[in-house]
Amino acid sequence: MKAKKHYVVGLLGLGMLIYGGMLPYFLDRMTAFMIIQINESIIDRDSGQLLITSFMYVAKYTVIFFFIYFGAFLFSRVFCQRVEMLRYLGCFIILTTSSMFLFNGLHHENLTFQTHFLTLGLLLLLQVYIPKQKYYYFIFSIILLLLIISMQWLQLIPALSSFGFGLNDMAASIKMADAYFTDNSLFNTIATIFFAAFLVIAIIFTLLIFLQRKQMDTLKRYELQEEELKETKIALVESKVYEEMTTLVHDLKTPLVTVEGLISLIEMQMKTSPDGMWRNYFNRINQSVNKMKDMISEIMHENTKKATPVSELLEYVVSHLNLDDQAIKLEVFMVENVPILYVNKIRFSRAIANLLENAVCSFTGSGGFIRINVKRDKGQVLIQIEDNGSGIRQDDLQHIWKDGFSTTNSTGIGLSFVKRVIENHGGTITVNSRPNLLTQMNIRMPEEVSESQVSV
Amino acid sequence: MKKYIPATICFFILILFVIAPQQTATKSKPYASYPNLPAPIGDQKLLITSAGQAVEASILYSIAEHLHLDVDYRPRVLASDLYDYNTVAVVIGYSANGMTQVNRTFEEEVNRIKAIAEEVENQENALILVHLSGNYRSDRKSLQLFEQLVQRADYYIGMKENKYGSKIKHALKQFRVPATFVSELDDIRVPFNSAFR
Repeated sequence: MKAKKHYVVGLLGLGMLIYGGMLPYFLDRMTAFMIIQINESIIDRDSGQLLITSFMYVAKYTVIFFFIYFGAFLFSRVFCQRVEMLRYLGCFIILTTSSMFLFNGLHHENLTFQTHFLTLGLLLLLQVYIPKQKYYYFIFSIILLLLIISMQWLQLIPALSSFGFGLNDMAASIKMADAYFTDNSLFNTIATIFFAAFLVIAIIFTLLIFLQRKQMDTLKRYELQEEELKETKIALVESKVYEEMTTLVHDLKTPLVTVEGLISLIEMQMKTSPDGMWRNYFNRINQSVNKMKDMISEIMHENTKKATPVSELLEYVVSHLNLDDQAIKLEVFMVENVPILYVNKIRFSRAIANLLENAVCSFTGSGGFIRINVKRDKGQVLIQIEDNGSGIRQDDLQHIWKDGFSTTNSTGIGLSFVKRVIENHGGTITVNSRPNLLTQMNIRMPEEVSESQVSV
Repeated sequence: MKKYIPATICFFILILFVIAPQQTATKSKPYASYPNLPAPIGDQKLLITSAGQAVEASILYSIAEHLHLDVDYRPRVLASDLYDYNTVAVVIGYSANGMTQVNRTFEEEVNRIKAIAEEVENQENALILVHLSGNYRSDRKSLQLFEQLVQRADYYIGMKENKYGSKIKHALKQFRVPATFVSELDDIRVPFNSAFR
């Protein structure tokens, strides 16, 4: 497809090249008018009329050479696709020089090659500074146009004739007419001013384009750096939060040990008492303390995992979910014989809770439903959490798993935490959302996951 | 640095093109020319025509008018139209664009000029060759036109600067044609006037 495009551009270039070469035939009347104008200006000694003719000369040859040079530049693409390659520019030089030979042979204009090589040299020098991007050919064509106009005025500077510039038929006629009635002072001045002006404009235009590109590159670099900095900040905040939480949980263990010790002590003291009710109370307190200890261990040690039924997980999550004062209908559908998951209960429950809390928040005061479906699918356990809240916009879908991304001014670490936890358990999570209709979070966990299969 | 190679090559070729003609230009042998003719060679009425259809013929016509000569300017005149004139001045200079406008090939132009020169000789009138373009039209076709006319010319006025200067001087010497070489276009007035007064 890309190669085909190159051939199309190349053919367009060839067309322009041929058209440029044939253009003098189509501009025959203009040429005749210019000759009449020069003759009349000589007979009437009218330098104004000669000056108008010189503008016509510049216009005519600018159009011709623009077609030839730009056509050759496009045509070079057939031989080499990349503009910055030496082969491309070599083809361009060869094509334009051959075209000049042919042009001279066809129209006997006696064009000298000094101007041609000066144009090529300047053009190839300036093109180095044109950014190789979307508008390259457009910018190139503007610079080429300015350079050709400048070079046509250079052809009309009589002082440069001795160096071989401007010896073609029409330029020679204009300069000789000027020599007759102003001793070349008019064209030495006017043509030099126009030549210099257009050359300077071409150079300034190129530099402006170059500097603008540089500025855009710098801005892009700054944006990237800013994004990296933001990500680092989020990671730092996250790690601090995690560190503090771990310390806090660790500190919880100390009073718990004290409570446990004291309960043991009281139990020993009460052993003498045959009161079964007290024994029952102490057993229950002891069980609760042990459960709390396990929970703390699971929070502190990410890789502590154990076999947990899905129903237990959901029961735990739903019991902690606060749906008071909200018109939200929460339903859980679970098929029988769902395999037991091997997970870090606290972390996995927290992940499910995050998803449910997000679903609750998406209702923003209005009513709706949240459905949890659990089933076996393609050898995996599929946990689907559906809601008909505000949902997620299509543009945001690819960003929701990134750290720090949030559409609600929150920390933006909730969903990234969910994804990390599920992936750490060998599972995957995907999302489909049609805003205000249905948002579906699909968690797939592998069946029969043994301890060795879970990432450590 | 690699990206500057194409531009550098072009500038290098440009320098060669500028320097080469200066180096190869040979100085022609000294030639004894007249500042102007010692005695008139032609009578009025004068006809100015062009050999090669370049616009310089208009310059000579303008000069002749300023010199108050009885002159007609007919760049496309034929040999059969010369009965009314006592002197013919032919301005040499090949112009591709000029030739296109008269709808004539170069061969036809050469034949027209040859016929005019022969007719002038037959009528025993004066033939003045004027070559104003100098280096601007130092091409083979202009030289060819000169070569067709020089043997029948009575006087030659040309520019000092000319790529084919030595060839022109050699031909002028060979056919014993009195010649005047000028530096500037305006300097042509005196020698041209001397051909009539």
